Parts: sequence; structure tokens; C-alpha cells
Amino acid sequence: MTQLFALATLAFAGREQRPLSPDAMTAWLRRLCRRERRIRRLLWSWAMLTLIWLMPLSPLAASRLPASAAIAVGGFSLVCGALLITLYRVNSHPRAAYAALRAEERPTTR
Amino acid sequence: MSRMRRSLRTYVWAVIAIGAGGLAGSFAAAPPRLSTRSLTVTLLLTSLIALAYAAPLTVGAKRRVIPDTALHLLAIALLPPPLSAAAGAGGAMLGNTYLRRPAFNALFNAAQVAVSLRIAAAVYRALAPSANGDSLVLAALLPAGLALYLVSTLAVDGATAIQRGRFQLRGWLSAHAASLETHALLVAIGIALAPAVALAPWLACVAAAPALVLGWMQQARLRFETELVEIAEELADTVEPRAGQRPDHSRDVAALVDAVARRCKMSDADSRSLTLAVRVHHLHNVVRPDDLLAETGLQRGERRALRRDHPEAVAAYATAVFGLRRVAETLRFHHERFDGRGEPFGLAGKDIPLGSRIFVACEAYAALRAPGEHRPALAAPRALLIAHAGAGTLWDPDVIAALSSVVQDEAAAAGTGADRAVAGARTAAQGGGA
Repeated sequence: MTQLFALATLAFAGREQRPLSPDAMTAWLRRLCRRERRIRRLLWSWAMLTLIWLMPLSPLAASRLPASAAIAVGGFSLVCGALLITLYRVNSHPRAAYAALRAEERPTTR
Repeated sequence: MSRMRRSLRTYVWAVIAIGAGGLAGSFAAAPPRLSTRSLTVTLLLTSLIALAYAAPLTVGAKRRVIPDTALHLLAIALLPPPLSAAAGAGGAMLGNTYLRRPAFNALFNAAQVAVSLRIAAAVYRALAPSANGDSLVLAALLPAGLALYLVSTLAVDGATAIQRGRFQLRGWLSAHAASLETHALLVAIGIALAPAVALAPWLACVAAAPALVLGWMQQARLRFETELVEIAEELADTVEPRAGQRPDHSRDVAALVDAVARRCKMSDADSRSLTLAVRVHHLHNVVRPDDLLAETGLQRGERRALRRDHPEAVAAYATAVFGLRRVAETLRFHHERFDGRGEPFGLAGKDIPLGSRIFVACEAYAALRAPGEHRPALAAPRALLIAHAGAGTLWDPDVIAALSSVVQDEAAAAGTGADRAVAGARTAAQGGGA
């Protein structure tokens, strides 16, 4: 996964970005941390919403819906959770992304 | 020692025998009616309990919690007692095997789960005789949750008591205060989720998903933070020579700071965060142009302002770019003086965080030990004399005392006879101070 992510970063990185300036590096790191924080918050929100929905607290709670509707909503919640955790894991490899950026910095013979 | 080991082994085998015998006995005494629903719930809960072991949650100060209690409660509420015990024991066995724990430990864990689930299910059935998988009596689940906690804790504490040779009943509650809180929360979650899972057993997956996903997220986050710290250190290493520091300066100071922090009885986590602060304390220079770093062409006032703003600038950079909040807290005060005449806040004495006090003293000592622009490097005794002279005004006397003892120990370990000189310098400084 790490190598895949590094390759993906290399493939999508703009050629005109090199050499990477310290400012660009700082901006990249800042963006990386911000993205990680946002996905983390989304994950916590999703977890809390799912738990609250499962508790018999509102008319739309899982236990008050027909079984088929509850399973549909539950399935949707599971898909959301799976997507979010995948997104988080892909974005939590700063080392690989950094190595890819540094590789981009090197002058090429092209 | 071997007798203690033998009694522990006997105790563990006894628990395993009680767990397995109880499980087999309950199946024989009251065979549960097996339906598609009860089998589905059993299999689901077994798998989810096993998965809970793979993704433990980290709560509070790095305490790892396996959130299987909520699933145990669901098993008690939705399944006949033998099946709930089997689901719990099976899940624990699979989870322990996944974690590659020794078979002996895995068996003990599974057996104590089976025993505690069996007793908790008995409590639930005694308080709610009409309850079955379809009709729940939520109020009766609360004492069942308490029984679950008491039995499983006592089973584990028994093993610990045999290992240590004593059982402390007096401090039992305070020792378990944190785990009791977490257990109560998990019991409450289990009770709240039971009606939804009773409606559709597949919702057990949805019920377990938040805890599992958050556990995986925490594992990924730990790796993210570790890798980010590595990048920060790598960047700090590249920027150090540009900031006029000799290579490995921050590494040397970090090693000294670590030793002094341990002498000052700082926790491992605080000590790690402090050494990281030392390593990255010039990190913000990465975005500064070379002429600003070399301070060429700057007026005296500008130079002074640059130095005054340095702690805030590096703290802001560490927080904004790397999210290192604890490190930033140390960096923010690392130019303060013990007498309150430092910068930028003018804090005095113990108002300055201990980490910052250690940092500033060790950095000054390391600077004295390194060759300056117009002077050679000072020997350890001379540098310590100067450090003692500044204790109470520039630096914290307690930190300087810890620094002295660390330096003396290092000199003694080197065995060059320098330890006697260092000890002499220390005594002379203390005598002068008196």
C-alpha cells in the first residue's frame, strides 16, 4: 500500500513543481496534516452518528424502523465507514509521500 | 519461585477446567434450541468479538481497551446462556490466536470469558425469567454487566495475586477505577444497542463497526505521527547547518536532555516529547531565507526582535505544520529565564514548564562545551561551574543539580578521572553558593 501510494503520488505530481521549495514543502505538510485531521474528525462523527442511530433515542432509530429499512441504513453506514477508513489509511503514509516528493526534487536527464 | 510458578499454572488450569466444564455442562443440562437466527447471532458475535481483539481502542493515557464488553452484553441479551458463553469464549480464543498469544494464555482468557459470561447470563435470566432473544429486559442487563466485570476481573486478579504472592483488597477499587469507568461505558453502549440488534441480527456488524474502525484509525494515526516525526527530524537535520549550528548539535543536546529529564523523574512520554522539541527547535528556519538566517545586513533591533520571536515562531510552525502541540508547549518557553527576565513572556521559577527549564539549561551547557567563535570548548568541570553560577537566575537550580549528577555519572562511566574533577567543581559551586 505504501509503495502504491508513493507511485501514485509520483504519477500525479506536476512536473513543473521541481525543485520543491521549503515553502512548498511546508505547504504540502500543512495540507497533509489538515487532511488527516479532517478525515479523522469525519470518522469520529460517523462513529458517533452510527452509535446514536443504533440507540433507541429518536423515531428514526434503528430499533424503531422496519427491519429492511434498518438493514439498508445500516449497510449504507457500513459502506461510509469502510470508505472513510480506506481514505484515512491511504492518507496516513507521509513517509512514502515525502520520499516521492524528494525523488521528484532530483534533476532528471530528460 | 518455582512453587509460585507451579501454583500459578495450577490456578490457570483450574480456570480452564471450570470454563470448559461449565460450558459443556450447560450445553448438556439445558440444550439450547438452535435456530437460524440464534446460529447467525452466535457466529456474528464470535467473529466480531475476535475482530475487537485485532483493533483495540486507545483511551486516556495510552491505555488499550478491547471493546468486547458491549458485544458480551449483546450475547447475554440475545442468546441462550450456553450459546452466549460459547460465542464469548470462541471470540476470545480466535482473537488471542490472531494476536499470536501463547495457547496457554489464550485458553485461560477464553475460559475466564466463558465463566464470566455464564455467571452474567445466569444473573440476567434470574432477574428476567421471561426474557429471550426477542423480548429484552434492559434493566436486568445492568447487574449482568456488573457481574461480568467482577468475575472477569477477579479471575485475572487471582492470577496476578498468585504471581505477586499477595492480594490487595484495600486498593482494589482505586486500582480498577479507570477500567471500571470504561467497562461501565461499554455496558451502557451494549444495553443501548441491544434493541436494534434484536430487531435484525445483522445490525450487530453495524454496532461493532464504530469501535473497530476507530481502533484501526488509531493504529494508522500512530504510524502517521511516527512518520511525521521522522520527516520533522530529517528536515531539522538539513536546516541545522544553515542556522549556523554544528551538525549533530541537536542530537547531542537531546541525549543530554533525555538523561536529565529521567533524573528529574519525567514520564517517558514527556521525556520523548521534550527530546523531540530539542531536535526540531530550529525547524521553522526551513522557510527562512539564508540572509535572514545568517542575520546579515540586519540592524541590532531587528536581530533582537528575530531572537525574541524565535520561540513563538518555532512553536507556531511545529503546531501548524506537524501538529506537535506538546512539543510546541516546550518550545514556546525555551528562552525564559528562571528569574523572570527571559523572553518572550517573562515567566519566572516553576511557572516555566519543567521541559523548557531542562531544555534551556542543557542547551546552555552544551553551548559551553562546544567551541565558540572566540573561545575553545570548555572542559566539563569549568562548564558546570558556570552552570552552577547561573543557577537561580538563568536556570532552575534543581535542573542544574540533575545536570551535574548526569555529567558526573557520564564522567565516571568514561573512567578518565574526569569525574573527580566534575565532583570537585560541583562541590566548589555548592560551597560558593552557600
